[in-house]
Amino acid sequence: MKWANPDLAESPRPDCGVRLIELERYVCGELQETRRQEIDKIQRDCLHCQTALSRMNQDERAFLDAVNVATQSAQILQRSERLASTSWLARLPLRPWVAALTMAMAMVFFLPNLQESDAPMNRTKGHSVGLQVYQNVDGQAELLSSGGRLSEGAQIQFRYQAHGFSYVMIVSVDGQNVISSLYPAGSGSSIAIQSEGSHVLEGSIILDDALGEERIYAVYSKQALDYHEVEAQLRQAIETHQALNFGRDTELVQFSFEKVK
Amino acid sequence: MQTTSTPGRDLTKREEIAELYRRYGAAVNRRCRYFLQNEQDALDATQEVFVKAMKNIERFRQDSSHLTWLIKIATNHCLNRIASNRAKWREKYKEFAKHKSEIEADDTGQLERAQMVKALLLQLDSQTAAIAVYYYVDEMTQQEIAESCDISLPTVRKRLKKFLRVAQKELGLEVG
Repeated sequence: MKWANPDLAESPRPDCGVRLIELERYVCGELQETRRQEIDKIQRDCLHCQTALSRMNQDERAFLDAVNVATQSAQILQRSERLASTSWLARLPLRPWVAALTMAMAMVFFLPNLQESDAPMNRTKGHSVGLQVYQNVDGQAELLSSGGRLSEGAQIQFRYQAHGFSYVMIVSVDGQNVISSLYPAGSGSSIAIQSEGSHVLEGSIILDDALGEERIYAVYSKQALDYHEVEAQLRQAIETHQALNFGRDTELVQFSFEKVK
Repeated sequence: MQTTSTPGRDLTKREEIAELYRRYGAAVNRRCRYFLQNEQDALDATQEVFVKAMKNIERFRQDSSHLTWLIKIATNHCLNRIASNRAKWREKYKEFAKHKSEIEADDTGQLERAQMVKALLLQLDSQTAAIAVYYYVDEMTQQEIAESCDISLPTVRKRLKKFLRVAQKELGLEVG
């Protein structure tokens, strides 16, 4: 079997001239009428087309048998609407948020003189990675303890210890179980970090007005994780009350506080 | 969590999603099964793909081919999953590669090509892997790939040649 040379072939093309993507479009009803009629004629005598179409039709029957379209649609609508309105960073009007972050980053950190603290890192028992959370109080960095209280508008920053892990993703789950990505900002992949030593993450976070218990999860990993994967795991854990497990080569640190007015 | 939608508006949107899911769900699921090799994983991924698509529903409505757009989201979603847990997928694909001689052959070699592309996924960056799938599995034209991925034609060709170099080295395949 020879593979199409991209310098010579616009696309791999079977002898009948009907590409697989065209058959997909044919089944989904997306083809222009003239091409649809051409393929109607061709596939009558073409074993390649008939085999592919038969497989696609079989798949469609099996798929529609396996799912309840109404239930799936409702879930998709619910999840997409939740995602569209949930990022508590996105809830801040863009310009002030950008200005706040820019100001924070222009100062490098709001913790310009932050020295490595002797205070213990928040860790999960038996694990080596850690996370410290600081609040900007009148320009001074105040180390926070898990379980405390913070007000909407408070400005926080993180120091981490990765102990051999190369990536971290930090997400928050607020009092209404709304999940948001803090690092990276928006969805994407885990950010690369320094594997050894204790370091401050650039940029600060301004807390929004969703009150109640907020949980911050720092997921350390050896490979970058996809935000949507992490979000899906968190959502499952919230809904089933099971322990979080992001798989091998990951460690997790949790930090909680109550957000008040 | 408070929402601002009204029951009537929700019903219309849900009907819209149901229609799209019914029409394109099997094609999206087929793509997810191709990568993830597991029915349940593929079903979960199919839902994720539609959630992602619905987040950008306005852009989705403007796109001339919903199928192409959904397949692109599905491809990227699955490749991200694979990239985020290479160790797990390495084992799965190793198993697959051991049995590739048992791959059902067909007249055009399309099936065989699809399986061989899959065997090489972990050796490629995500963009090259996606382009290889669009070209050698979906048989999209290079122009279609460039438009879908929002990259130039020369970049498409460059990625395909990179894929061929890896494929020739790993599988000794012949280029026509």
